[in-house]
Amino acid sequence: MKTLLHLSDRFVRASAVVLLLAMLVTVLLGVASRQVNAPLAWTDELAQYLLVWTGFIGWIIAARQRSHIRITVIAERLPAGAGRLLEIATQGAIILFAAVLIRYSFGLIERTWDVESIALPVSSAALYAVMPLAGLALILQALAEIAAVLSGRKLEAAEPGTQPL
Amino acid sequence: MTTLMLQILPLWFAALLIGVPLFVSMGLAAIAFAFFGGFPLGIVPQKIAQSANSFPLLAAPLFILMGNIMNSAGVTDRIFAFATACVGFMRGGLCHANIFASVIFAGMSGSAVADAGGVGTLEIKAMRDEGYDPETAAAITAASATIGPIIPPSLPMVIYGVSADVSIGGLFLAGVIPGLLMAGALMGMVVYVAKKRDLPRHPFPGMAKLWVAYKEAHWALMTPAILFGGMMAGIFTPTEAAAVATAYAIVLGLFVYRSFSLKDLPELVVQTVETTGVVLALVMTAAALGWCLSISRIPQTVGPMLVDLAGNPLIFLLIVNLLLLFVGCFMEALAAMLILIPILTPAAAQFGIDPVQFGLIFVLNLMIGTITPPVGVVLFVTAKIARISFEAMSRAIVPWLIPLLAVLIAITLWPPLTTWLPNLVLGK
Repeated sequence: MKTLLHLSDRFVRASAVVLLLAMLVTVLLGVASRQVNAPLAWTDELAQYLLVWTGFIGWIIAARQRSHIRITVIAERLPAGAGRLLEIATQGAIILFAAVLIRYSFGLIERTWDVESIALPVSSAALYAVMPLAGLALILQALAEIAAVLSGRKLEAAEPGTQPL
Repeated sequence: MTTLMLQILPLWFAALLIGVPLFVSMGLAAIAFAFFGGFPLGIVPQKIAQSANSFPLLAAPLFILMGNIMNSAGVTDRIFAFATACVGFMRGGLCHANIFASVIFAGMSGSAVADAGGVGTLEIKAMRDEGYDPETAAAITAASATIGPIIPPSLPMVIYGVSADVSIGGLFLAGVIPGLLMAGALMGMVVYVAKKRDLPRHPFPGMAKLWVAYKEAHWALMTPAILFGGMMAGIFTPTEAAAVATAYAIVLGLFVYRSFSLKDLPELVVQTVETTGVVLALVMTAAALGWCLSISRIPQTVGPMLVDLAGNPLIFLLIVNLLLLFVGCFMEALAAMLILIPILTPAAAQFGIDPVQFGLIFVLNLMIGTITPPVGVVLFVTAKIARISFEAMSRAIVPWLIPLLAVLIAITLWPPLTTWLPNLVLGK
């Protein structure tokens, strides 16, 4: 179990590195190709697809690090029992949201399977391809948090330093 | 549809308050709207994915990456040394240097937290070593960190531009004058405090030393020049500028300053993707909820209500300022921004307020919100660096809010401060 978690974390982090650096290179390629008067048609579209993928991978990493923005002021002031109940309800909400995403993203993939992208030789279903994975990761993480709450372990909140602005 | 949305919104707000992550609560509200409104549920994941399929939004991860790389590329100490050489001879020298360094760093990073955590760490240490009390050091660092996202590049302005459909280049240019005004106002405050408390000063280092400090910082100081020059010359868009400047920062760190190696790059990238995930989760689900809001004609209902309530543009802007400052005290800047944009911008448009000016007012309010308790991210970060309690930090920041609020009032009352430069460069 531990090794499986470790492996999937490494996979997610590795794909994050590949996706973001590929995005950087693609945007640079777009600028450079325009400067030498041989503009490439596909760089914008590829960079945008990579952004969507990076976004979903980012959802997963942020969920693992517990850095998604949430308001905990009220939950922290509650007595321990009520607080734990609320935490379980919260994680339940995450599972519900992620389940709907997974269920309906398959429909989107199916429907757009035959639709070609404009400049890239791939199906536009690529846009939705990572969503089920992100949904699955959110659900697994939420289940792990529920297990942690039930076993009475105290979870550490994210550092405020991870906030982006 | 309007009634349905008005029933869902309180539930959404309740979910938010009990601690459901903001992006999940927005996604669930959109799902509930689609479900009870009889729309196919697939529309929610579709809006979520499609909203990130946007070229301007690419600037978000790229600017975050640039800030992370700049912070570890060893440019911060060079910038601070240069700033100290420039303004250290004034009374309260390190306070001035702190503000000046933040202005320079603002030109190569788009986030107040990055500024406070990066160059701020250095500033607080230097001020402590020279005998300043930690509260003053931390307060000036926090207050000057808010300049970071006002002077371009700016992450909040990218998000604002994408969400409110305003030109990002226009917003960037509009931030230059207010950013410099903020620095000027803060420095004015330092002059007053320095005189009252008789703060220390450095001797003037002489032109030779100044030149050495400049040469040390030269390549770092070129970053804003590359960003602006390229954008003004039309070689690249703001998004592409983010990519070019990031590449420049990587080259700077790897080959010129040799402050990090290729081995460190993956960790920086993973951090960037994590922050990107936090930002995009909100932007994506806010887009889905925004679609529901527009289908249910909420902006069209609330807009005229606000117009009737306020009566004239100035009263409206006053209400907006008070609302944003209040919300900024209790909510993360990004969250507040994404929630309030669809409600406030249509009303601003009805009043004929320039969208770029309104964007600046919006962003500056929320940046002030990052240094107001009880929820102020920059306050948390600086208090931690200075090793003082959050309460002490909250008291120390109060006088430094005055100059920032003065700038806010100025850009609210006098549109040319924000609109003149973009109109000059981009044309009207």
